Amino acid sequence: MFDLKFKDKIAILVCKFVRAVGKAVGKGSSLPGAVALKFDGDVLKRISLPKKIIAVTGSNGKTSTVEMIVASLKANGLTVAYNSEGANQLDGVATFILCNSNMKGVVDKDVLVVEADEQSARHIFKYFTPTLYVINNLYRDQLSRNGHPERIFGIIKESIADGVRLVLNADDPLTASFGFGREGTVYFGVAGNENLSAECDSAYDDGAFCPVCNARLEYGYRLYNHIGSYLCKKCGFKRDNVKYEVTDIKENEIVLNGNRIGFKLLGLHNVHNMLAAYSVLAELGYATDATVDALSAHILKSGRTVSFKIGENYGTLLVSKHENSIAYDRSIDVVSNYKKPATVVIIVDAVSRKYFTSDTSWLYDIDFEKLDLPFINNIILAGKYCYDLAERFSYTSVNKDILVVSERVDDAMENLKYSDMGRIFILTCFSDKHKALAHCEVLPYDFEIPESEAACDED
Amino acid sequence: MKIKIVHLYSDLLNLYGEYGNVLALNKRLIENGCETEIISHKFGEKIILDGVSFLYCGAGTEKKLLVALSDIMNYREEITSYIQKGGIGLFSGNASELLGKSIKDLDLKEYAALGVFDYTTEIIDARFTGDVICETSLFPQTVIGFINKSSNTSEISNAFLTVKNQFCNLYIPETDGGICGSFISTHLLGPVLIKNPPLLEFFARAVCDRHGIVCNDSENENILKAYQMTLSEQLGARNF
Repeated sequence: MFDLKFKDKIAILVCKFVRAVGKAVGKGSSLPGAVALKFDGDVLKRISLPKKIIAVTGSNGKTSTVEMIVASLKANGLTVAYNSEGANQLDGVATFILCNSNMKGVVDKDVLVVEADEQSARHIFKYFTPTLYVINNLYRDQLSRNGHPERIFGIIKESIADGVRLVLNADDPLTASFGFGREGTVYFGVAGNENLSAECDSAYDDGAFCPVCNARLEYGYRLYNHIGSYLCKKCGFKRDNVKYEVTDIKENEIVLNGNRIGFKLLGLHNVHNMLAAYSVLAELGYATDATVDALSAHILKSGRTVSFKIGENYGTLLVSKHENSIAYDRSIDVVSNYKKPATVVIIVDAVSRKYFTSDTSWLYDIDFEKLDLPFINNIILAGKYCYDLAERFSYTSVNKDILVVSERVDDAMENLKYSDMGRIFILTCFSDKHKALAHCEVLPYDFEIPESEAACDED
Repeated sequence: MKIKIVHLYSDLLNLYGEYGNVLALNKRLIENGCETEIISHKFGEKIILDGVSFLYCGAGTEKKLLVALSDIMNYREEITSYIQKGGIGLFSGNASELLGKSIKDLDLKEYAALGVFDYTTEIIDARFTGDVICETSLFPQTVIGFINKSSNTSEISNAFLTVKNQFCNLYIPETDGGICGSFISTHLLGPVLIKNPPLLEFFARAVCDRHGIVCNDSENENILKAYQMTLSEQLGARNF
């Protein structure tokens, strides 16, 4: 145990107090930590943390992965402290650690699980070192603050201390390159099959060049975009040594290292998230039935998929993160797998809820082309940036007659009430999600949506 | 005769949908009855500029920009000659840095660049990102866009843009890019021609004029409404 100073105790107290006040007014998952750190900048160094510390970072899927890890740890009878509200910058992490600490400066739990923002990880892990460090992926994400994935790679690298055991997505070349030449790295991935192509069919290819030596990468198959099996013939960097692998994906089940795990989630990205969670549990010695059961029962609590009813129509809102084309692409995958009469609503009204930008370059990185499907009867483009969306769609083969452009989200949503639209899929970000759901009756996650009677355009 | 649009290093330098610039010009030329061909040049392929009507190069990561620089310098004569003889084109994002005199990397190692423009660039650790509102001498309308770079460019003369306002954590000089006839460089990135219909018209008219084709006024309402919305959002964001 560290020697706790008097001012450390005051910092803990201040954090708990500000948190209590914040909770009472419904705010403050980061402010208490910020105040405490301002008072005592080194307090985190002197907090006694659990011996097992799991860190999770990456562009997409951090919160979902953390949710799965925590549920599985708890199912194995372990006690866990984690940033349950998703505040993943230094102040948010300080808040949850100090609030979980007693006045002796001890976080009396079996495991600490830290979701870390990509840019903040280097600041957070100055104070303590993770036992296992999961990096899910590095995608084009929030260009307004992140620049580009190679820049984030450099920033995350600063957060990796010697001796940390990395748990990496083997299918993402840039992410996997963190482990190139590093002993003890654990890799997880999804195996290919004969139906997958080696060709890139996306709007851009971030896997064209080797992240280690810049030579051209060759792919054996691609799961999506640049995610797949790759090889650099120049330096030998390749998808390799995959310890935890999903070998089969069915509608409600995945096979992971021979274990059949129920899969109630949508999208291949969630398979990777589940793989990351299982890898962590297995590395900690909990490749148990309890882990399999916990993952099988898992549903996302973070509101990334919402079922709703509007008028007589049912639908699903898929949170797709503006400024993140891969997140949108995975939502488009969900739509394209539906194969029954459907309406797609895409809302871009505020690009970010955290900062101002009116940049819409990222729309050109999204594979909207893949919405050229015979069962989609309407595509509604809504929000302030509806005309940017309409222009973007003009470069696709999507039938222009099914496009409806609406500057006001309210108008777009109200119009969904008055005719049979088939199943509605809303693709939008956290910044605009509430504007759509304000017009809907939100349904329980496990609600079984009835099939629509709407006609399907067979052309 | 087909109008050839060349997209240089389309696989290496293509951050944030910059290929949209090529699509936008292509669409605009087709609207005017032109027969067009888009040539997506890949890294390592020979650059051939014979019969080219529009040359485009977009932004990449700092690492990949230097990879492109090492290759494009093999074609310095051809590219400078193309531009000096009145060739039409656009280098956007940090590809604009390729057209300056030199680029210094993070280790302060200086590399000669194409030297079409006088400016020099230093790659730095900090990242400057943000929305900008600019003016240009080419047309009266405001130019809008987005900058996302880890570099400082200095000694800019004959600039394309005068930056009127900058948002976020951006720090850039008051001027940006360069103009040489109908060839333009700018740090604005992404589909800058789609965001700026006047700039798209500037290039469409330049290409049409070169081929003796009458360029009709655009009837694309979406692109104009998107421009107006972005402009009003940017003006409203900071009470410009």
